Amino acid sequence: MPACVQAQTYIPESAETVLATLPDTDPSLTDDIRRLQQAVAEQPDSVELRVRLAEHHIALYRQTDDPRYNGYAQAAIAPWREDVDAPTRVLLIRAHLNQQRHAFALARADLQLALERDPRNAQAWLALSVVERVSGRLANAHKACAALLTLTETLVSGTCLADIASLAGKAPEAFATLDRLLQAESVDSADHLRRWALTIQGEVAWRLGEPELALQAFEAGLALAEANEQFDGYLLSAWADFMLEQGRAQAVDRRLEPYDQSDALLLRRAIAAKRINHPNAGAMADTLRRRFAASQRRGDDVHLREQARFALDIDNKPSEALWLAQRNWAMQKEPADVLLVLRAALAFNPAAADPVVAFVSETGLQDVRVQTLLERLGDTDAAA
Amino acid sequence: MNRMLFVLVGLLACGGVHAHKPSDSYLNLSLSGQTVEGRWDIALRDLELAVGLDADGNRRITWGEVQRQRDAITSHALSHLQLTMGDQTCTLEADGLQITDHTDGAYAAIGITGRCLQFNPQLTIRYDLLFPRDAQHRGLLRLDRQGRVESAVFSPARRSLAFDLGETRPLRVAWQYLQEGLWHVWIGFDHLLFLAGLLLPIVVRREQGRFVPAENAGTATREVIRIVTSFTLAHFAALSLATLGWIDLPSRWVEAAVALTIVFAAINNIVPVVYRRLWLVAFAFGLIHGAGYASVLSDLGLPAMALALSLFAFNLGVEGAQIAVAAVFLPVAYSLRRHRLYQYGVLIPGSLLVAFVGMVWFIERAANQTLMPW
Repeated sequence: MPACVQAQTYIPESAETVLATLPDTDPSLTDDIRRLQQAVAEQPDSVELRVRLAEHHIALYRQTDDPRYNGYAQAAIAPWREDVDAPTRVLLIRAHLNQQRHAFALARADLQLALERDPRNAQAWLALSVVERVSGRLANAHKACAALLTLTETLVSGTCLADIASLAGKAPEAFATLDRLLQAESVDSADHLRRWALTIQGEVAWRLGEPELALQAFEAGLALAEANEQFDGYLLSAWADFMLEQGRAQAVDRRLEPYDQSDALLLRRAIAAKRINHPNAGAMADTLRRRFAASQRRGDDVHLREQARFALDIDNKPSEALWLAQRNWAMQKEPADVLLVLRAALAFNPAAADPVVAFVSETGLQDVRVQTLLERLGDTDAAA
Repeated sequence: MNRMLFVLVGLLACGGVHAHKPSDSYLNLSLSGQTVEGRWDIALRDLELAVGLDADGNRRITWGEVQRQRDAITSHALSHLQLTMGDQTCTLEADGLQITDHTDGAYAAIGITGRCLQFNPQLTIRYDLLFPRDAQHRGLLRLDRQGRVESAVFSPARRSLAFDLGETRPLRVAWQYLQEGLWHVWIGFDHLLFLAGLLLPIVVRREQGRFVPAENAGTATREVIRIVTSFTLAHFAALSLATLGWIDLPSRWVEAAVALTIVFAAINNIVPVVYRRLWLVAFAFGLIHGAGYASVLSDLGLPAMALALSLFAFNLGVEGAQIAVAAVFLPVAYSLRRHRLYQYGVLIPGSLLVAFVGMVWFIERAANQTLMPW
């Protein structure tokens, strides 16, 4: 197994050889962190200082997408590792960390606890809506979004509600709502909120079978990210998936080139590279394989979605893809996860799609890609 | 409102976009008896956090900066790793620092050597690198116990792992030692050299300044088997006595004596002192070589129960490897034995070369100096 093979060691050519570049982070944030670390060392019992230190690290995680910062945040709140009496702000940090490692039940429990104490906590409601959405519990997600109506600006609660509605059989209405929200709020809302709404709008349009509208929304979102020099991994992945489906692998390869550090984006680029016979396609696939192996050695399960996709689109191993997609389905139930199980089932064992088919009919998910796959599954049923 | 912003940006990053890699260190240890060897790869990013590397603060870590912090790096690392056998803590030392690349960038690769005072099957490894700073750091351990490999993960909740080294089955151990024996001849340069010294004159020996070819293949073969086997038997006897602790010779002088036997065997090919009963010479030399290898085997830490079996298996491996070498050498040499090419082109220069290398070894070992790079 490749993980057991030790990498070669070497002595760099000169003392000037640069071996690593530290992440380019906001200097004011890193200065604050240094001061907070000092303060925590002096007053290790201070809740306020520890929480602020953790929040700063999470902010850095969001700027860089580098999971190490989550580890630093977790260390800062280590005194409350499993404590149910933890302060509310600690509960929110802990929920974020659990959600990141796909421990959705733990994240949900902490958020519910936080909301029992503070029902007007908008951050907790929004985080809860995300956890419920990923878990496929759309009714709960809808409730959480609805709670935001009186607590935040309309673009936030409206986007949250439209997103859930689009997954529950009301996609055209959701698209129209998002359009209206984006028109009305164009002047005052912060760019990253608009970017979020545009991402959701692009996804809804794509599921509705409106590629021009989808591309328009995605491109508008990416333009905002670029104008603000913000990295938005989720939007880039969504755009890349869309472009790959549209047969525009060349564009995907070009745009994602600077982001090989991100596993999810490197996966999209590797798929694109394979399609256009890029000379580095094999090397990209190998890097991903090694990253998955490294993650597995740690005991992490956070890559199942990417691994299933890799098995389907790069390795052409449908049986492995199905196994991975099913394990992923036990945790995550977003449209991307639906698609993975259906594709792998079609390629290997159509009967394995049953629970996912049931989920789609229960929730009323509208998605042209899902529809096509369901029809093909119906054909195999008829044939059998 | 500021906190609100955090959450929203986070939302976008939650869909499984897991960029970069969380912090891992790779700890590969191999254990034989009381000796520990290994390598510990720690990310430069993590060392920057733990001891500080970026001296000029330009966010770029250079090899020079790493070298300047070499002592800080190794002492920090080793103070967060502890091996105990029974209730005795083993000594751990850093053995060199190089660089290696993992999927997410450059790591410092720290060589580790260590020794435990007394063998005890209850091994405990404690690891607490970085945990106070990074709660998602993991220490990925790969422990090689003479070919038996185990993997385990250290985490803040699991900072100590216990292993029972006693649970090895005798036959399995014997099989490992047989392989050790084969391997030992194969990589033991001095062993092969000595064998060459003894085998070169089998097919044609010098007598009073003339070359006398062996009469027939049967005699030559019997002679080879006699030499190789008597060497192994003596090797076995000395090794057993030394391993059981009945004889205890200073290893440096035994090693030097081994080198001298090589010189003697080679010179004997050119200016024969002994030309009959070479097997007796082989037996005597086997005794010396066996005593020399006692240190190798005792380092492997034999479980007492399997001692006899292991020793036997080890020597069986040695014998097998020697016969294999001889089986390749003999037919070729035999067919060439009457040619001047073999006599003047192989036997004499080969013996001179063997004598030279043996001499250098002797000086090195006797004087504890390094003359040659191996």
